[in-house]
Amino acid sequence: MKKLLELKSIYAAYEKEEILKNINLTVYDKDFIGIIGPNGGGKTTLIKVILGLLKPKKGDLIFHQPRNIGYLPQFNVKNEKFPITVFEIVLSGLTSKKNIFKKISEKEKKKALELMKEMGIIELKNKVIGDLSGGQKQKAFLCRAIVSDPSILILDEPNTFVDKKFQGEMYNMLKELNKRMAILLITHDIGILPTIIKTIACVNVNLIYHNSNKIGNEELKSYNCPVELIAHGKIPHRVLAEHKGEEND
Amino acid sequence: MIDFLFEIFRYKFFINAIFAVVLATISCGIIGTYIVNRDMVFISGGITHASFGGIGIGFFLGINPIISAAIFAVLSSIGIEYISEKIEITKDSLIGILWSFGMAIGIIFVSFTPGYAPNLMTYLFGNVLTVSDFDLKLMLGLNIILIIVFKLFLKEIIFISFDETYLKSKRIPTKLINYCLISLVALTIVINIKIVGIILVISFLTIPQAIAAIFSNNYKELIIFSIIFGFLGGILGLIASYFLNIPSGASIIFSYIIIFGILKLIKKKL
Repeated sequence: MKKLLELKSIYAAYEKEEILKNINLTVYDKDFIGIIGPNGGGKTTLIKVILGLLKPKKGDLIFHQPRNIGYLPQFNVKNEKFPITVFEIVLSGLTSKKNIFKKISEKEKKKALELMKEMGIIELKNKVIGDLSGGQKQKAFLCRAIVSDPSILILDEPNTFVDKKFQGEMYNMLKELNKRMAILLITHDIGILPTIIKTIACVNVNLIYHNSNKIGNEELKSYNCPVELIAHGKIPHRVLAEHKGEEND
Repeated sequence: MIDFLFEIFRYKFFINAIFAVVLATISCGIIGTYIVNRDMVFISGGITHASFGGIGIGFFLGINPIISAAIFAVLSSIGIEYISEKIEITKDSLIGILWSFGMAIGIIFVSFTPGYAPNLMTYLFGNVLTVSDFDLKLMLGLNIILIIVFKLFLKEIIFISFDETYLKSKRIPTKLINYCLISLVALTIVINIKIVGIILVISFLTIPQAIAAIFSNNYKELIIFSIIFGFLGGILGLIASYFLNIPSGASIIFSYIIIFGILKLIKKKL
């Protein structure tokens, strides 16, 4: 399997507080890694390091391919009233260091429009962000994340504030996208993990990697990841565990 | 004959005033739309008041206070950005400190300056009727820069205002862009201070935008509507100030508020 990205003994901290310790992770082509762990355990910090938003204190971040990451950030209410259209949001995904001050070409516009058609948001093209539902917004942001054909797609809790119907739709889209790119998904929705993800990275200061999508309650406990139990059977279901760690946050 | 000359003289300064209002509404329409949509109104207030420090220094050194205020405002705006990245302090507290620090420096330097500073009130409350040709040239220069920058880089400005973190994740040099934009905000504030004054300039940057937002939620249209309503209110206020013999800055802002109130009410009724 082709390596896309490697994290080698990464340490990261805000001010003095150490958030991540000795993180090792390799992302392969077409990977689908579920990133789980307690709140405050460093999931978002890990993603910030990968995206270059936070410089690690120690360790190496190695890209084996030209760096092209798609990113779907956590839902952000601050942007709610901004005068920007869906089309503009999607086009902003084409921004790169090389073309930042260049005009967007007709070809790129066409590509963005085709993607929006595929995602079923073409008719929202000229709507401003404030007029969209949670699911529609998420689709617009997903379009922005993938319009540049990234080799890695990172999603930070894409399910916050969207309805159940959209969640299902979203996971189907991700399954489809996974044929084209590796995906890293931060999620609290552990129940959905076994149905779409391939491997699990459990982040709580340290990172423990499971080369499978099946981990039991005992393992989760020993890794200090107070999450919902992933149970597997013919019918996907889950058992709720205690929410000890999550209340602290 | 004397009457005739007097008419021309009046004509000249009134024409200057009208030019000043046009130029002020264009620059404030552009930069105001930027700061309002980027939640930068408070920092703009801070820069405005901090620039009084520069005005005081200008009085003290005997140079044009607008020049020293421009330097002071640009440096302090970049300073806010820089310090808030480097040390652990919320931007709001930093702005609050700078706000009063600049005022304090201004007061100290004005008190050092021998004699009474006769123009001081102009800088605090503005007077569009005393705008000089030099001021107009400065304003024209600023407008040309702003129009070029916002014409060429509007998409980048919209993107960075909307989601800076996202652009950062795309390796865009957002810090550098922010420094450039905040410098333009500082220059716009200082160069327009003569018109409305330190105390009132923030309303030039926000009320036309609030009026524009009644009609549109498209960034480009917001700029254009802000300029149009800024101009209408400006002329209305100017005429009112002439006939009622009240300070121009205050009367312009008064007419902005009236326009805003009326249009908002009409919109609500519809």
